[in-house]
Amino acid sequence: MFAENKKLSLKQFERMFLIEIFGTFSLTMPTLVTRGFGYNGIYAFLFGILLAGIYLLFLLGVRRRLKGTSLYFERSFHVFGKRTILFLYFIRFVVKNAYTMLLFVSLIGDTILKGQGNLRILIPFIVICAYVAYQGIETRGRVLEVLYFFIFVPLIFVILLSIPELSYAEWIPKGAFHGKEFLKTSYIVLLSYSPMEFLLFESGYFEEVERKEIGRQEEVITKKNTIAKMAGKGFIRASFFHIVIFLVTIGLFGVTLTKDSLWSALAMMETAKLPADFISRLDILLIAFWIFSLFGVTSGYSTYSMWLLKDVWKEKRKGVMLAIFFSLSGILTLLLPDIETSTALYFRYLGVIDFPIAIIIPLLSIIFYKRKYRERSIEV
Amino acid sequence: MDQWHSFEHKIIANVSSVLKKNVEVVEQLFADCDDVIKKELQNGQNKQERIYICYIDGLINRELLEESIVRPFLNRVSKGDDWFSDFFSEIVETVDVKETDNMDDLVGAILGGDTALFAEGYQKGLVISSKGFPTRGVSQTESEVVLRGSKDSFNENFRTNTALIRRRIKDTRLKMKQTTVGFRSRTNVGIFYMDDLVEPELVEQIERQLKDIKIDAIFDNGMLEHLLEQNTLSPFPQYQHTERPDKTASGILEGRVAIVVDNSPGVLLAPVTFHCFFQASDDYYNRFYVASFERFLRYMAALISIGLPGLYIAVFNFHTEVLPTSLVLSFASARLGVPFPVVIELLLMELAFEMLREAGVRMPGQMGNTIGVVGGLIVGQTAVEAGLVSTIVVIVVSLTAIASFSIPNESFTSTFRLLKFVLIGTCALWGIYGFFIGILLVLIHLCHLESYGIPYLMPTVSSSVAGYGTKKDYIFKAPIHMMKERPIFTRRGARVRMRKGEEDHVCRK
Repeated sequence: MFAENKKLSLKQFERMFLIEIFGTFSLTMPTLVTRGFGYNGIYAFLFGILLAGIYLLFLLGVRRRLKGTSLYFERSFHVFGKRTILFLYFIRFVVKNAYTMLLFVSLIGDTILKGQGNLRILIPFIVICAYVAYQGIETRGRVLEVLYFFIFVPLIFVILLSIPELSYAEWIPKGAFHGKEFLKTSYIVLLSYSPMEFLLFESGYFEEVERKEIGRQEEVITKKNTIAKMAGKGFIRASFFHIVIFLVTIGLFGVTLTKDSLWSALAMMETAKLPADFISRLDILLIAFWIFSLFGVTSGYSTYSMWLLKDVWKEKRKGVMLAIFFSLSGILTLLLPDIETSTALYFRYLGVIDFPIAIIIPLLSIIFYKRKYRERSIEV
Repeated sequence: MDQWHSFEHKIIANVSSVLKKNVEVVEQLFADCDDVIKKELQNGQNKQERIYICYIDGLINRELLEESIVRPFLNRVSKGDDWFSDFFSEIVETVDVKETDNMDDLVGAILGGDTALFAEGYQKGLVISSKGFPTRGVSQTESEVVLRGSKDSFNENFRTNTALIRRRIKDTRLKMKQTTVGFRSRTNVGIFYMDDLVEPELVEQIERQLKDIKIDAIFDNGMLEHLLEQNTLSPFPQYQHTERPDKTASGILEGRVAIVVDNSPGVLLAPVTFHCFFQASDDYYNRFYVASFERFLRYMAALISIGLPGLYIAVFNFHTEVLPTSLVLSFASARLGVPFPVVIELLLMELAFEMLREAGVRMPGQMGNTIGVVGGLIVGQTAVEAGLVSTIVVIVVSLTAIASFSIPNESFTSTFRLLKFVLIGTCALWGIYGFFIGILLVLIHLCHLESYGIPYLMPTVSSSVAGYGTKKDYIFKAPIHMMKERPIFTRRGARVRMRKGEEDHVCRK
């Protein structure tokens, strides 16, 4: 009766989008880029972001042509095709979720809860992700809208505290420029933006209007391309934060030390000190805030998996879907090797299998949709 | 079911024009009710003019009845055949009289403190308003104390409560719809709303919900609240309970609905958001700097009341390196000799405090104060001296308690008191990771809650719904002259409540 947005507001979408892009690889990006391209990593980083921007434009284009429902490919394929694609998405989300949970478990296990088993760390995380997925996309949108402050405000705070310690000499690119490493590292940066494909599933959940009240009259202004603007804003902000974290990390520790550990960016927080040394170890609190950003990404995989399958298989019991999803990704998380090896494997999987599928399916959806539309026009 | 009651517990007898039949029905309905007075009266001049009155002793104002009905009837000069119409127009000297042919209404009126009158040859009965039962006067509010502002509060009398609201809103658009809930208690329930400010669907929905309640009795608006709420398993209240007429009037003027329940010294307001529970009446009577500071303190207090014990356990058990070395040593020396682990120590003190609090509430008057002194000073002090608990835990528990009492709404305070145990559990298991897991669980639940379609956490979430200055009365409060718009509860097109200048002193376009 009161809600003016269908399910999600534009502000909620922008924040969700930002957290989904930023959440998984913001911590590990400096290490991945410096390992890939050393002192010239900034070039690869910027080029990777450019490629990611092109990918975003591609996704927005797909959305514009096929918008209206949460299953963007619904009108392009018949039942068998639709179910096959859904199955593919489900498997992809299980794998990606497994890696994200492994990242989370490794982060917590290496920093806050040393010596605790992975399962003990994993179980409460699964519970909260399942809980928010069960409550639906609107609840998730609201949760991420609140968590936005708790993720970015402490981060900005730490970055500001780190500024006096920076060594700007480390920012200057040097050394030989190898094209192959450049492209490979740029591709890794592009792959880290793969959660942007959630955009395709959020289409059916909001309307692009703005309502204004003037006296007793209500005016509804239809705004075109508002989602595109919001997505663009989210993308730019996420990229800005990625670059800042990258620069601050290598400014504090140099390229050599940054390459050393996957959690180099976390070490940035250890150097930040509050005035009067009120809290000795600031990184513990900030790691805890990082829980929120990884939660944002994992809850996305689980929410969309559950809602996708529920719609198609007519399975009324959300709990069943979630149980299957988290059982599979939980088992995979526990079976995966250590985080370093898993990260290498994961990027290989993303680069060779996952990302191509993420491009091919939308392309095929547009082609088949146009063909169907043309056939219908001919019939008429 | 007996012969007089339907499956829905309504009286199925009819009002008859033969007085004797009505008398039989009433006698049977009220058999073995010695406090029900039934009297047949006859006019001295004309024996055909007979009436039968029925009321419950102790519930009515007998003087009113005798002066307005009985004496005039007995002294009446008979005029003709249509004696009852004459009697009704000339003799019945009270304004509040209703005619009805429904026996259930008449019996309900008797049970509610009115008088029922039957007349020979007349197929309708009269309900004469004659309530005069003893009530507590209008006193000061006990749970929502303010330093500045009115001190009167609602009491158990339905009509007194409706009058207190009417005193504050002198507008014909203030509507009150009345119904009864409970087959046996027939508790009067009134819905107050502003006709041009409220969302029409809201009133309809509440009316439907009240109609759908099939229960034998309700004794307090707390019972009604739990029957109406959508999320019965949520620890968070979905209606705002208040004892204050000014808060009620303010809520009504924001487009909310006030539900007044007979025998309840309070009113329910709906819809509600999380932030409503942090608003106190004197926020609007004090200067905005003071009000903002106090409100910010309440939010901090809420965080402390839910999180401090858990955070203490997390830091002390798992992450002592977070604190400066000197502080850690100070804590450690305070715990020297304490035989229990931190978690047990804290739980013991928290449970002891909760028992003290419960005892203080149940004990009458001065004894309650004594319990507080005895418990707090003597038991706490001696527990520390005996080495059972450390001083740090006593400080943590005390701060938590003080923080919980800073929240203006008692039902909300209780929620935080319960949730802190959940966080104690998660922190005991997982340290600071558990603290944030617990906070996330609570946050997800709050984000899921809605009150008649409005997100519970509004305007923290979904505030981009056309803005309407909803953040001007949020964690910090803007000055009154800047709060020109009503909050989200109000119907579209009726949000402006204040204008400047001489163009229009009534808020109309």
